[in-house]
Amino acid sequence: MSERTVLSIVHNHPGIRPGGAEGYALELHRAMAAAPGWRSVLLAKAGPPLARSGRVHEGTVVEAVAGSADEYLLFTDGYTYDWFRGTITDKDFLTRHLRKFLEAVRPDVVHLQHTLFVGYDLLREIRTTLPDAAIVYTLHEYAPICFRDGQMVRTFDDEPCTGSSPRACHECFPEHSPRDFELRRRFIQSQLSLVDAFVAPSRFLRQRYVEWGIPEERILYEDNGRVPPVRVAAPATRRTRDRIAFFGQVTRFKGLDVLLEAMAMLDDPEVRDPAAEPADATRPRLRGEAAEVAAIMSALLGTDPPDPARGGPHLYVHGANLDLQVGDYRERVAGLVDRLGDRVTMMGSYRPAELPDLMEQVDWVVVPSVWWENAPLVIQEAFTHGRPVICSDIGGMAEKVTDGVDGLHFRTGDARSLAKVLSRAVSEDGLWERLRGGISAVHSMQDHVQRLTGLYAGLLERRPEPLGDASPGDSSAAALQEVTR
Amino acid sequence: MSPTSAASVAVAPIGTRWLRWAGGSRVTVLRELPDAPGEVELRLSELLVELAGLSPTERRDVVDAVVLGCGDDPDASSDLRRVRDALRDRHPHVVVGADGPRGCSVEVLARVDAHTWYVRGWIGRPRHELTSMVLVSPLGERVELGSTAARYARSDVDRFYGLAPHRGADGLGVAAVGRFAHAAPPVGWLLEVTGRDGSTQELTCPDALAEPTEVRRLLLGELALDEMDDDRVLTAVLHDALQRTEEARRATVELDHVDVHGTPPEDPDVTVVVPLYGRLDFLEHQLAQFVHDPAMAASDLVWVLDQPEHADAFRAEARRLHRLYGVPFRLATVTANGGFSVANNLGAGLARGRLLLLCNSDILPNAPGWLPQLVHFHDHLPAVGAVSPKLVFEDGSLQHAGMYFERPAGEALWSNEHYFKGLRRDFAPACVSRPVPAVTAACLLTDRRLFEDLGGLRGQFLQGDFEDSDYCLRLRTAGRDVWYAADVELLHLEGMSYPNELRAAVGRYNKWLHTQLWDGVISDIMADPSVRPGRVAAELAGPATSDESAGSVGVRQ
Repeated sequence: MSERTVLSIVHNHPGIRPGGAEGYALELHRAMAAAPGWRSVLLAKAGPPLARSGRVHEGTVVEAVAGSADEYLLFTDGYTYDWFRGTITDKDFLTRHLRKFLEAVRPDVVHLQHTLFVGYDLLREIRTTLPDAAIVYTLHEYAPICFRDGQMVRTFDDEPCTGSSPRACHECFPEHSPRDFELRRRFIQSQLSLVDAFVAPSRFLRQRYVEWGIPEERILYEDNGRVPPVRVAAPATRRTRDRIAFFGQVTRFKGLDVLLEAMAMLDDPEVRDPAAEPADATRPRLRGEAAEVAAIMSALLGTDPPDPARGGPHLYVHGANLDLQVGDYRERVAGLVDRLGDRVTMMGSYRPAELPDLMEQVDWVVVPSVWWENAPLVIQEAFTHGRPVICSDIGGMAEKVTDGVDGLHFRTGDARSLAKVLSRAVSEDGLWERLRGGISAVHSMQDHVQRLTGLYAGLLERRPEPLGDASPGDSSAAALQEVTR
Repeated sequence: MSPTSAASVAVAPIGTRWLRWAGGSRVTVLRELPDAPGEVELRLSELLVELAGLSPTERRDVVDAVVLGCGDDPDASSDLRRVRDALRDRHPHVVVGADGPRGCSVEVLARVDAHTWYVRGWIGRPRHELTSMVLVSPLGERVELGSTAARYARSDVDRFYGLAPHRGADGLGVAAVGRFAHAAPPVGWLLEVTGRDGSTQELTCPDALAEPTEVRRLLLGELALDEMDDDRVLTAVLHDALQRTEEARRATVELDHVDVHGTPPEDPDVTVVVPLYGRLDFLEHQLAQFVHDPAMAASDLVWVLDQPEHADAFRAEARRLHRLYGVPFRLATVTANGGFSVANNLGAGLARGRLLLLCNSDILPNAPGWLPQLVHFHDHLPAVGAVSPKLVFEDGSLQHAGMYFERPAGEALWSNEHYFKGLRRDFAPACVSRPVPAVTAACLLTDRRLFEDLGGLRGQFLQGDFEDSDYCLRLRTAGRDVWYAADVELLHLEGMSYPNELRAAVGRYNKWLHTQLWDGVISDIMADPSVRPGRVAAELAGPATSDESAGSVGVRQ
């Protein structure tokens, strides 16, 4: 069998700006390239707004990524992107420029990780130019369903939204009429109907899309695969399990404010479990020079470095982009951080390679998002490094973390509920070890690639003639069932 | 009295012609200078000095003869005005003051067409105190407005003169349309008002509005003046003016470009005509849906852009959209904005199909195959004139399940109503196909020949309204039935019209016109209790029944 080509399209190259979905997409591309019988080509959107510099060559919208095989950047500079519908308004971008790339690469499979900045009608262009290609689309959040950055959180009260409708969406965005929301849905679904198979990394998200109108048989549940880390963080040897971490972008949807508020409540007697005082609650705090000495000593002895303010749970925030947030949220977070004083350390952003070291410093990873999430990569990272996860009890988080087995749930957006859970987590003897023991192996990239190539092959096999527009159903559904089995 | 002391006949140039005066009111207009000895050649001003000495009656006869002789000479208009001003009777000029005698005022003068002028203002005396009201053109042509002028209430004038309110036909407001034999310029108009006491006053009219779009806007605005008055006296006057402007406007609208994108089908069964106005992005939305339906590619799709100002950019946009979607279609552009009826009629003029589907741009299908289904339904009905499907809003509530007419008790005008609007799409009575009084043109299937024979949509209604019921009523008059097809459902994103003064007034004018045209027919239709929505709901409340005779759809004959 001759080699077949899969073209992956993603809205950003992680070399430009790190991000969960784009990082995963690059890892997948590289793993796919190593799979026998498959050639993988990555086309990543570049240029503004995520990058500072834009297109530099006349007469083309693509550019090879220097020093890497089969990676390309795609530039949409100069084209207007309609954020509401998700489309580039000048169709020449698709039918004249992108078409040339598709005709040159001639992929057998086009796997979209995202259509942001390029538009949903990219699918129409792919189907027109490559009538025989299988089209696969991974759903990373709820962007097609929800105009609020695909978060499904209401604009007026930040409450999680349970389902879109023209009326409900108009309530969130009064400047767009219900009919415009209906047009938006119709437009997007018209394009998505050209997809042969969707990949949903969580069952929760899959169900959301089924409710929205994508036929159930066309969505495959398949978690993101992870490339094993170079080194797995060692289990800590400390006696206490009171180091808490937050990893991720600091956006209002990620709920860092809930976590900070919960930290501030830990001294509240209502929150603390009197039956389970931390063993070292009475240990005197070390300050100033004494703390430094202790740190040096512990480094020399290879034991626990005590916190600069030993005396209770400590929060490490590994997060970037707080500066990009709108003023009121940024100020709220900054205010909460100030209030917590030496109980919180703002660590800033991190590189993926640093993760084992950073995980070693902490016991618990908290995912306090106030939106549904899909399949948060941070949960996979925590589990990879044997850290139980404390998360909101909704959506993809609740699905990926089983309460009492490999982590703990708290009531979404409820700082007091989180404080109670944190209080228990840091104080209950044996809990950490038990939950750590409950963590199952993270879905490996190798298995993931196998599943996806199986899906691709199935789609191509069951495709005696080009798929019609109207009925992409039967053959792809069969291929999906095959893979699902 | 002789023209000069030396000769019996004088001639003077006027416009491109010659005025020949043989004494008294014996005036003729000649196209060539007569080669007659003894005729004295004067300048027009010199001749007018001579003519000014005539009696008032003679002078008026002279003016009439001059206008008759060279009113059609465009180069004569300034000379004619000089003749008028030199020879006419001069009357006291109106002075408006609260303490003085009651005056009058012309507030608006507008050129409806070359021979028709709309005038509106007020006269401080009610109708019975006047004997004459004459509009004098700058050329000197005089038209009596008295018998055709409409009076309307002007409480502001009543208050100004401290009078008890004059209402309705006694109102101090006045509006009229004057027809003149000769086209005249917009400046230099006079109004002469004569009372029962024999006294005449004159006043100078403001310069007339003459630019057609401004005149149209003015007349639409004038409709709002009638809002407070049940008798709608102004509407009849404005109707006369508006129908002339609309007719003239429609006559100027033609197809400009017809771009063919792709290869339209050889022998299409149906031509789909979609007017585009305002939301031009609807073309993309419709293409993004039609592309999934082979039946649409097999149909003759015609979009008509009714906004010439966007034609260049949009023609290019249509080319680009075609390259992406590949659905064959034609895009027609027009030379001027024509409105809903004109755009549909021009599009229908391009039709090649046996059937014609009038389709709004905010109609989107739910699933492929709807058009053949609608055609099937149409073709199995005897003596059918028009068929429209079920239309639903974006939230699934009914937008259209047939139309009927309603005139609330005590009201003068019929309105168009939609059966069961706002109820859920599966509301049982809306799930039965049946003949109805009328259907919407938002998605209306009709025989093309029939449409052509009836002259297409009527263009008399303003800003798109009532064309559909008017067409259906003409079909019924021609012995055809109008059907609602319950088993074909599409989305209609009917936009909310944000109320404003003008729109409300225009809407009521359309309603008035529709009632004027159809009162008798509508009354007969609605006299049948079985078409009333309450009765329909009661009779069809159960589950829909199926009747194979009308094409495998639930049908009630």
